[in-house]
Amino acid sequence: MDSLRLDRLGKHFGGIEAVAELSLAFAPGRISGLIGPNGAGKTTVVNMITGLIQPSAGRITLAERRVDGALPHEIARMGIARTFQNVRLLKEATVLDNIVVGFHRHEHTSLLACSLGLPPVWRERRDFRAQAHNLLTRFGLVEFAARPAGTISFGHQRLVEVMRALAMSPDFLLLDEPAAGMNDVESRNLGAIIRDLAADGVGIVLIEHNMRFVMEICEAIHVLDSGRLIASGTAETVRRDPAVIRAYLGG
Amino acid sequence: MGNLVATYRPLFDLICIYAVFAFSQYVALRAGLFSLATAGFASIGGYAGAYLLKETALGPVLSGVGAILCGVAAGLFLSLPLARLRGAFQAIATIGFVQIMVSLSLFAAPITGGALGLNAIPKVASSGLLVAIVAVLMLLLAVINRGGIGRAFDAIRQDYTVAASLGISTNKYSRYAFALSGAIGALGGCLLAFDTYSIQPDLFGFPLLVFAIAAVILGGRSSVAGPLVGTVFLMVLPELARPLADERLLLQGALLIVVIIYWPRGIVDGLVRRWHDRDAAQDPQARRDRHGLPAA
Amino acid sequence: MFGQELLNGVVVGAVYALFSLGLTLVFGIHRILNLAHGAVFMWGALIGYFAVTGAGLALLPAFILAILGGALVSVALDLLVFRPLRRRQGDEFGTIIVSIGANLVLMHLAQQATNAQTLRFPFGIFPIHFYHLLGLRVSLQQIVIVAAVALLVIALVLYLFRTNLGTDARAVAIDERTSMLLGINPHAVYFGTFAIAGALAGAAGVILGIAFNSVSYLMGEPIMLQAFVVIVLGGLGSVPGALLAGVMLGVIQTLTTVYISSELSDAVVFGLLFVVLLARPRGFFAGLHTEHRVA
Repeated sequence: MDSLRLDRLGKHFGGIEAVAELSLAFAPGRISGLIGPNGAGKTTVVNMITGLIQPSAGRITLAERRVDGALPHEIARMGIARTFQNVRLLKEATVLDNIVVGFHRHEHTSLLACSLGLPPVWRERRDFRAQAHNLLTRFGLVEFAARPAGTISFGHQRLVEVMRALAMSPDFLLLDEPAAGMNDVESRNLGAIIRDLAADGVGIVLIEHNMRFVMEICEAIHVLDSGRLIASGTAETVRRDPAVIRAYLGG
Repeated sequence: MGNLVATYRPLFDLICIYAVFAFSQYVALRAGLFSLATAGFASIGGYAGAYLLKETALGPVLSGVGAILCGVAAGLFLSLPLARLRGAFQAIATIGFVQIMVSLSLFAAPITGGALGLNAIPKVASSGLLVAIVAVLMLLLAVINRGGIGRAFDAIRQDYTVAASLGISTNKYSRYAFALSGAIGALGGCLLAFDTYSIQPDLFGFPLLVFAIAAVILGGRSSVAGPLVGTVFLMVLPELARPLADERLLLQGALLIVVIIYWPRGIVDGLVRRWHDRDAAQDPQARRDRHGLPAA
Repeated sequence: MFGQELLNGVVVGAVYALFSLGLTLVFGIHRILNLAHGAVFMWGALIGYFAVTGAGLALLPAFILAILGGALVSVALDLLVFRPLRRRQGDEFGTIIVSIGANLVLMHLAQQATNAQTLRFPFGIFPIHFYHLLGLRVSLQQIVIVAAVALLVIALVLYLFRTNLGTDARAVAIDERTSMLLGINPHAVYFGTFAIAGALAGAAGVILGIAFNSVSYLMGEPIMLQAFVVIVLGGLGSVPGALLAGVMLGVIQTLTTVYISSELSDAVVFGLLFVVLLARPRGFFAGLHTEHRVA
């Protein structure tokens, strides 16, 4: 159906091949894991999908629409949301405002209406704030709504980033190491949230270091090593794959 | 008493006009642009407004509108290369723009009067009008800040990669900010021409560039009151301490350094922040009430 | 005639290059756009002038003194202005703003020192002598200028690529935090780059001050505009780019002044800046940094 497809994707920086001949398909409503040792090219893949980096070769499509070549904000508007490896919130703004920014994709007032402060602008503002509030309630962080985002705990900041991405109502959500820096309880909660999202039809791409977390929640796992796909399959098959074991134990 | 009004009226008018310049600079900074083009926009607006008023039958209002449109055009022109570039590039190109407007206004003597400038411009601006314009401008900017444009500006200013990842077109909003900054800057230049009878190229040079940025940095870059407070401070202080009047540029230079290093929020935002911190120390329910959130 | 103008352009351009090198070096390594660089240049010229007229020094020692003075002013800028800002996590925007402030302060001090007058070196400070080479009239001054610029540039290149400090500077340019883990002292690197940038600017100040026989507290502003074009044309942060673009700009400007109009040469220069930004913002030579694209 409307999958996100990478077709023989490649990227080299100078002489170094960061990603090569990568073909993958991510399906809506499924949780896919993208794992691999440090420097395997996972974040490069995310940056290529979201348009921050131009691929050197191959193509990316979403429901037959060409993604590569589009600008980052255009790709976001196609319905691809992401979080960042090193949480990037607007630290000066409150937690609530951080999430409200995420609703930009659903904004329909023109620049002119916005400049003049016509009634739809205020309706939208109220609406977005209420929805952001609902998200905060659902994630159990409503008490932090008015706090500057830089002052809450790191694990909570990660969740706020996920909420901000969800505000876009994306079709695909790319999570770059979302469980890093979380304790067991927090990461278990995050796992439950991710499963809920997938059940709602969002395609999840999970970049992770934390193997246990990935093995627990991913339906399909793709393993990268030195920019190449070395294995794909369920947690069980990947775990037993000799190439994967070699890559992780260093051979 | 009447004497006092007569003495301070020109200063009061100038404060209003220079506050408009500060607002032009404020819009650029708020949108995350490193633009220092305000003085150039002011030059365009000043000459366009004065020329239209003196040489055509458009009248003050339409001349003013014409000046503002010229400012919008200049802003859009600058945004062609600069909306997609960031940081240092924007600073470099806009400083160059200001310098070039000075040399163009010296060169285009048939329209601008060269080094002598344009004189005998009818005085069509009154103190009441200036106050009204500043008030409307502040209201407009406050409205923009609270809507979608303000949200997009905040996101782009703080992290433009994140902004783009949320579907915000940095290009579109930067273009808008350049146009708005151009419009407001040109309005200020036009008001200066309409209020002070004459304009010359050196009014719109490096000192104005410095004034605009210093007023915003000093007053505060976030809240709408910041640029106004900064302007009042910079204009009134030399009047209170006469020796400072000759050292205006030194004062502004030193202030820029000290404020950015030791008090980067500026006067208004610094006070607002302090008030918030005290607010946060109060009990949680009072805080919730104040922010209009339901009880936990 | 054309050849003669070309030669004059190359000489002026060599000085632009010398000035712009420091600006682009500091930006390339530390991401600091130092808008007070023009004031350092101006102070170099002033120090040279006072060394000759006040202290009665000969030209060469005065030149060396000006180079040292430029380095000193530049290092002082880093210590008193940029470093306190760094310590308080100032961003790129903050550095631009404080450098504007520092520029004003330095200009104001110079205005006081000169009573806002334009100063002229004593007549005959530089021997007037002409040679005929390949059908061109070449002055001794032009030869000395080009030779001095070449020497300084060679010294810079040797420093950047041969010494420990040079490799350290390039490591800091690539990643400051990692380079600290490798035991590189960033303070030493800041000191080094600002000293070099200031020395080059000071040298350029004296050279231009003598060439046009005019020194004033305002002389830093026009050359900043030229340098903006040079560093953008050459690619922000690129040393070879600044060299080539500096010479190119000197030629373009001289030819514009001669064949079109001297009043419009500023406008032509800015037009060039605008076109480069529109068509090739990374310049014609790659800089040291690449960033994520967004728009």
